Amino acid sequence: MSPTQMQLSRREMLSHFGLGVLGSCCAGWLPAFASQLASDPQRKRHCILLWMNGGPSQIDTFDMKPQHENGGEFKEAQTRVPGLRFSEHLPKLAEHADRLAIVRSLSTKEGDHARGTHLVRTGQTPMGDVAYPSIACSLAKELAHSESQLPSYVSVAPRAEISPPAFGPGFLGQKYAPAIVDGIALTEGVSATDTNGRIAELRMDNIHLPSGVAPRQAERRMQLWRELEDGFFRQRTASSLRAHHDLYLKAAGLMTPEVRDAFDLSREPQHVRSRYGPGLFGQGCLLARRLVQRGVPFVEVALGDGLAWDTHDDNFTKVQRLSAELDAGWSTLMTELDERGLLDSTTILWMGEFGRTPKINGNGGRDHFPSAWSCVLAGGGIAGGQAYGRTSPDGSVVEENRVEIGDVLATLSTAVGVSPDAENVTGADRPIKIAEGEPIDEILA
Amino acid sequence: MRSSYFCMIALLLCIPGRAEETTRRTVADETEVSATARQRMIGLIDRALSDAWNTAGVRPAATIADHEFMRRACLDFTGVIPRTSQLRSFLVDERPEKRQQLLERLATSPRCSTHLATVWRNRILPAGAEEAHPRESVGLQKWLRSRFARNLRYDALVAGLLLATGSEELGPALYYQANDLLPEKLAASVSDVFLGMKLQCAQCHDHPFAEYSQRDFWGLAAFFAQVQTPEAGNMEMSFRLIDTNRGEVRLPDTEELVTPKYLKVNRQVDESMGSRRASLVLWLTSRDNPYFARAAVNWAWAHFFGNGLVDTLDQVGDSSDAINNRLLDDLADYFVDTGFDLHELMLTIAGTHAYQLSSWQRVPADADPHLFAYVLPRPLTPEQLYDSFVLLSPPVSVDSNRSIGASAPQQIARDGGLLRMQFIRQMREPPGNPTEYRAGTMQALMLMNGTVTSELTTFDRSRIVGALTAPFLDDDDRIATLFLAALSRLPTEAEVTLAQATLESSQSDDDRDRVLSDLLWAMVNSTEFAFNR
Repeated sequence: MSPTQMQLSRREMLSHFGLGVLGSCCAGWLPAFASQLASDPQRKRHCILLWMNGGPSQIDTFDMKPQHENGGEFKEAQTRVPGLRFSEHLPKLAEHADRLAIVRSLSTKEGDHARGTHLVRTGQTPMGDVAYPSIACSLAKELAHSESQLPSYVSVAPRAEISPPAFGPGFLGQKYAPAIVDGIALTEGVSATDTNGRIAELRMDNIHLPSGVAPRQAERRMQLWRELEDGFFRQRTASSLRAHHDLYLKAAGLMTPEVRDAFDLSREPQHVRSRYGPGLFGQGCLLARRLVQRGVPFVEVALGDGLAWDTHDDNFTKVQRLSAELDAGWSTLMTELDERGLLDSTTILWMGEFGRTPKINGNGGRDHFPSAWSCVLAGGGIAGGQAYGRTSPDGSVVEENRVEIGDVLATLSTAVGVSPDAENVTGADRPIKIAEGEPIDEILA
Repeated sequence: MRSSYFCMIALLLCIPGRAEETTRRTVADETEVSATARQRMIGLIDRALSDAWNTAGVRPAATIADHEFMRRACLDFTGVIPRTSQLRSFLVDERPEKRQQLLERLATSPRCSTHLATVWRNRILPAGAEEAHPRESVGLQKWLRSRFARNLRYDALVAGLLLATGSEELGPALYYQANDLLPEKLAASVSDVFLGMKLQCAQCHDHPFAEYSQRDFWGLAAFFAQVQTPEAGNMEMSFRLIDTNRGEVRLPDTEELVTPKYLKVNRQVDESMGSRRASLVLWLTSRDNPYFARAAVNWAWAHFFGNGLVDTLDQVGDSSDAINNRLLDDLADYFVDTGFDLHELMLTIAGTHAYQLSSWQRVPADADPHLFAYVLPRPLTPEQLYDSFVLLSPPVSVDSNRSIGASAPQQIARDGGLLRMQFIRQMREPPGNPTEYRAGTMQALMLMNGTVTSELTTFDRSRIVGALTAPFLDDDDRIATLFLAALSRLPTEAEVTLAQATLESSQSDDDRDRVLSDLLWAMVNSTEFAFNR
């Protein structure tokens, strides 16, 4: 590719992508150009979603109200960007403030966990006869590289029970479902989330041989399988049959030492593992870094088992503890991506299903609050060092630059180089945009 | 609430032609008459398709062997692969009419009603309904199963579903609940499932290709505008439905009320039925509604072939579809004449020559699948896959799934085992072409290394491997039995040699058993196993 093409601006690049999508059926050279772009290592983009189960309190993290009684117990602290301030309990993240764009004017309409989760993860209310894919599945599909052995979407410790469709590929099909990585119980009978200060261990589902099956036996199985397949395919040509066969070869390809290594955190020095924090979230962030290094386009890491951020009571103790976990994992992730030159090609979105009430309730907690809350975009494609939008002094309403969830998803999509107007087609031949909203130009780099 | 129940009864009595059902004939006479009529219908289909092949210059695929026929028929009628014992006796049976007899046995087996209930439950419920309402979903399964078991007339089945009140039995009201009791969702579903028309687009705009408008869509939706749930004062355990005289639909973004209107016919809406739903059902299930029977026939055809005779009923096809449309009409007339007899319809379609064609042949890439000159392999559904695994070797750990509340292990395995539900959820594809294989690597990994396969293929846990290690069997028996059980066929010479050589290379007695389990693993993961072909 010539240097001139390399220097296409973001908008030009987007218009090419848009054309590639629209024109793929009628102009032969366009897809070729698009695939050239996609296979250029310089163009590889990644996305990391830090998903906050339960809905984090904006007023105790990124949109503090120290002058108001709603502000609560926490102090606001100066970050490395003059004038940009957030919680004192995120000190390490404050060092990365120049790469963070805080959106303080997000406003949605769903205040129920299941519905809110569905809305913000798919951009759609849970109504209608279309099974919408989560934004993660859509973006992973667009960003996938055909040559990679690794899955294109890995999700660490998701707690999808609250709204399974919001975590899945919907009408895109199971092909685009995430590979699930979860904790392994360190102590018999104790939940994997409860590491008791020890470093959590993660494992990808079904990538290891079942217990009792030695590698030699597994080899024998595959050998027998290949022989049966050879006999079967001597007389058959149907493409669906071939698709099954090829899929198994691809899955078997996932069970290689290289792939297992990618998921094997024991290969990291102890001090690195500790720096990320011992919990599933911290170790998940470390895994995200390892996977991004190996070209995985989309990684999601969830923080908080169950609905940890759902702080209806004892809000301040809980948020302080969660903030410590968040601060260690997220900041180390940014540092290490940056050290490896990967932060510029990796966009991070921090978000939960809604925010929490500015007013503190009788139990020292905060309740569900979708009408004025915050999310944070960071890293590649994002103009950091700013807070976008403003809520009122008591935090109850958006006063400036109100955005909807579609706008946030469209911004994320644009930041990773995928046109939000790119369309997926449902089983009923209905085209649906990846994100129905307007990208927020001010926070795009 | 009660009124709609009476409506249903009234409705069933007043549908024209219902009286014929009670004409006095002995059971034997009836069977004979229907068998002759069926043969005539099958002959008609065979000739029509054969003519179509001649015209198109297509040579049909070869006829499949008995073992292939049995596997195909078992999967289509009962949702599982055949048992080794059934297969063995079928293969030695020398009666010329044994295929027809097999179909009749399968159609009246309890497994058939279970399978049809599963198929129809998945067909009528929107995606995710099963997860959202597990209890009601099991209820609907049972409700459907009991009706398929006594081969209830299709028109009465649909009437029962659409007139559900939720007060008699848990289950059918889920159809309303899962569609959020929204007239537009119900209209889209009813038109799709029971009328064979994809109307959703007309919800928001006039349909670009077909002959109906946004007003037609909302006219259909209006029939559901007055179904409501009673005031939810107390936390009621089940979802109830009542018919009121309040509630209207409006054209989107306008104030225009739309009154109930039957789709595509100029027939006055009969308002004497007591409720709008009942008025709809009266027209929907009547003999004069050509779409109702044709949609059912097209479904049944697709059930056996993956593709329906036509894609939808609402588009005027080009001339190449003329034969299939004609066939559809003939089959629909036959279906109506037999009193909406689903068993009869299924036996007729499965009795055709086309159903016995192979999927083996090298099919020219441009051959039109709508000619049905060969059979397209269909991936097993998650239910077929799981239930076949269980049939092959019931998992030892099935007892641990007691929490669902059912009693017998078979019951759990069929209706709601947690393992089964999880497996199905992870394997379920969104609606689409049933002849396409759409799974992803995560599903393949799950089948290779997951719990379900492990239970089936771990040598010291697998029941089938355990049975095969019996001392009175020799290796040839073991190999043959394994192939019959898993792949419904005897091994080829090359496969026998392969299996023997692998057995001989084993290091110990335990390892010999492991070889058998490895062979089983290879079979259940094979492309041959994964398809109904």
